[in-house]
Amino acid sequence: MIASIAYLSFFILHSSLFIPVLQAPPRERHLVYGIQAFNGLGYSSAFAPPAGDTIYLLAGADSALSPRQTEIYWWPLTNRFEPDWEALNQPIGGTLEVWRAFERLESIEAASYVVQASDGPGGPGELYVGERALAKYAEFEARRRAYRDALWDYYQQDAEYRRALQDAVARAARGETTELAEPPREPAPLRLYSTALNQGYVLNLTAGRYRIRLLGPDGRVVPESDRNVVVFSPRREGLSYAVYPQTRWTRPTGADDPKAIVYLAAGGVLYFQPFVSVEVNDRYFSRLEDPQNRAVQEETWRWVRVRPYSDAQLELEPTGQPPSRFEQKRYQVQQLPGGGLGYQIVEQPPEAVGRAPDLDAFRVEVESGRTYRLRLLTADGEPLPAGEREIRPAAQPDSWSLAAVPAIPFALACGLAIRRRWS
Amino acid sequence: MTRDPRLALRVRAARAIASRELRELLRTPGLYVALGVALTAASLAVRSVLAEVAQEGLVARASPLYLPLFVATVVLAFSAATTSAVSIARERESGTLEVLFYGPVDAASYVVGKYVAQLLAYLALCAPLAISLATYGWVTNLGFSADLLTGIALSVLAAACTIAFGLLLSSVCGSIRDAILLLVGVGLLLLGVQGGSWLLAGLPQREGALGVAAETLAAADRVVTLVSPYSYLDRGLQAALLGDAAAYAIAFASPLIYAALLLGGAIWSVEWRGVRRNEE
Repeated sequence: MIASIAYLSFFILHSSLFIPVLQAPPRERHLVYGIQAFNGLGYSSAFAPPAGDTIYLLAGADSALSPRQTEIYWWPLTNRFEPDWEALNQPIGGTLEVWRAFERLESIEAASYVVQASDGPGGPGELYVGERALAKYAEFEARRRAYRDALWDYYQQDAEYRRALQDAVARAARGETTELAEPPREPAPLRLYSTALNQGYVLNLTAGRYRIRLLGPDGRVVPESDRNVVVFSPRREGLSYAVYPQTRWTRPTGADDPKAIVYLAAGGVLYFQPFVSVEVNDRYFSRLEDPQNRAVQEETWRWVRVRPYSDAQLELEPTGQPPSRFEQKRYQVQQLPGGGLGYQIVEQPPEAVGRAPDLDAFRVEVESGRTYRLRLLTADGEPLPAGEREIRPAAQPDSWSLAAVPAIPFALACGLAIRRRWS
Repeated sequence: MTRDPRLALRVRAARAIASRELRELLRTPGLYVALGVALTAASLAVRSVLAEVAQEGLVARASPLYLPLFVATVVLAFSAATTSAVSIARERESGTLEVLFYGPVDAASYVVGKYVAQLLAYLALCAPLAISLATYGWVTNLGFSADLLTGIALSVLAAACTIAFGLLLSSVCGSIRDAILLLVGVGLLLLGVQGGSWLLAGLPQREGALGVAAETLAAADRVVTLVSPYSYLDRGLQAALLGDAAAYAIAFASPLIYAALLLGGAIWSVEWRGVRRNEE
C-alpha cells in the first residue's frame, strides 16, 4: 500500500515536469510565401516565413511565389518555423511589384500555375501557367482517374484469377484437368506527379538583388509582404560523374569538379553515371531549397547535377595501354537468397522495361595499383572536354616516409643551435 | 638626370639592413623550426586525406594537396609575423635602434630593409615547401598539379601582408612582450569575429540583442574578410582555377596595395614614436 502510494506520487511528480513539453507551441498568424523554385532540374517546394526575409531563385527560369495567410509556429525539435496549412491557408490576392534598387521593374498579376514532373516529384519538372496550367492539370486528373480505374479492374481480375486458381487446385486434387487463364497484368505505375492548381506570381529574372512587395486591391502595401529576392546564376557548367563502387552501391561518390581525380584504395568494379551539372553558390542554393537553412554560412561552391547525360560512350585508357570503350546499360540489384547479407548487380532483363533500373551507368573494372584516364565521348566518338577524369591508386606509405620530410629542417635547426652554442 | 643622393643613401641603408637581417634569420634555428612545424602540419593534413581514402575505399578530390599547402603557409606566415613583430621592438628595447638612427638610417630605409629581409626569408622557404609537397604527392600518389605552384606564388603575397602587419605592430609597441601580446590579441579577435559570426548566423531565431549581435558580427566579418590576407589567397586560387584573369589580377594586386599601406603605417609609427627605448 505504502509502496503503491510512493510509486504513484513519484509518477505524478515526474509527469508534471513533462507538461510544458506536451503543450502545443503557440501559433501566430502571418503572411508567408509558398515557393516553387526551379532548381536546375525540377522544382523545389518550400515556404518562406517572415523570419527568413530573403528568397533565393535561379536566374533565367520560371519560379512561382504564392503569398498566403497561415498560422506558423516554432518547432523546437527541428529548430524551424512550420506552417499549419490545415488551420489556415488563405491565398492573398493583389499585384506583385518587383523593385531593383529604387526602380520598379514590373508589376505582376496573379495567375494559375501547376508544377508537373514526369518521373516523380524529384525528377525533371515543368511549371505551367494560366490556360496551359488548367489544361495540364485536367490532363493529369484524367490520367489519374484512368490509372485508378485500371488498378481497380486489375484487383477485380486478380481476385477472380485467385478464385479460379483455387478451383483448379481443388479439381486437380480430384483428378480433373482444367484450363487456367493467364494471370492479369498489373497496370504500369503512374509516374506523372503534379502539384495542386495554385494561384500565384511567376517570376523570371536575371541575376541580381531585388525587392518584392504585394499591393492589395486598395493599392496599399499588404503588411509582411516585403521580401528581398536574390537571383543567382551558375558559375560554370560541366559534366559530373556519380561513381558507384560495386561493394558499396548505396553510397556513391561524386566526381563533379572537372579537375577531380578519383583515388582508389584497391581495384574493383565501378559504375560511372554521367550528368550535366552546374556549379552554384552553395549558400544561395541551400536557401533556394529551404529558406530557413542556415547550415551553410560561407561563400563556397558546389556542383548540382541537373540531368543525366545520355547517348554517350565511355573510354577507359590504362597508362601505357590502348583504350577500351563501354556502353551505358541498365542494372538492377538483386539480393542474394538466404539469410545472409549480400547482393549482386546484374543487367536489367529486356522484359523489365517498366521498372526503373537501380543503376543506369557504365560498368568498368579497374586493377589495383594502376592509373587510368577516363573520357566521355559523344555517340560519334568525339571526346567531351569536361568529361575527362583520372583514376589513381592512393598509396598508404609508412609513417617514417612522411615524417622524414619535416625531420630535415628540424635536424638543420638542431645543427645550427649546436654550432651557435659551441662558437 | 642626376640621381637623388638622399634616395641613393636610403637604398644603400635599406640594403645593408636587409642583408644583415637576412643573414641573421638564415643563421638562427627559428626559421627551420618554423619550416619543420609547417611541414609536420602539412603531413598531418595529407594523412587525413589518405585515411579518408582507406576508410571510404574511393574518394574524388580536385586538389587534395591544397589543404596541406594552406596549413603550411599559414604556419610559415604566422612565424614570419611573429619574427617581424619582435624585430623592431627588440632593437628599440636593446637601444640598437637609437644607435642605428645616429647613422645614415631613417624610418623608411629601416622598415623597408626589415621588410625585404623577412620577405626574402619567406621566399627562401618556398622552394623547400614546393619540393616537400611534391614529395608528399609522389610518395602518396596524390599527385602534384601546377595549381599548387600558383598557390605557393600567391602565398608569398599573403605572407607579404602578414609581415607588414607584424612590422606595424612592432613599430607601435615599446617592448617585445607588448608586441607578442598585441599579435596574439589581434589574432584571437579576428578568430573570435569569424567564429562568433558563423555561430550566430547559424541560429534560426535571432531576435533582440541576439539579432543585433549577429548583424554586428556579420558586418565585422565582412571587414575581416577584406583585410585577411588568406581571403585574398583563397580568391586568387579560385580565380586561377576558373581561369578568370581579371579576378586573378585583383587578387594579386590587392595584397600588394594592402602591404604597402601597412608598411606606410609602420614607417609613420617609427617616426612618430621615436627610436629611444622606454625610460624606466
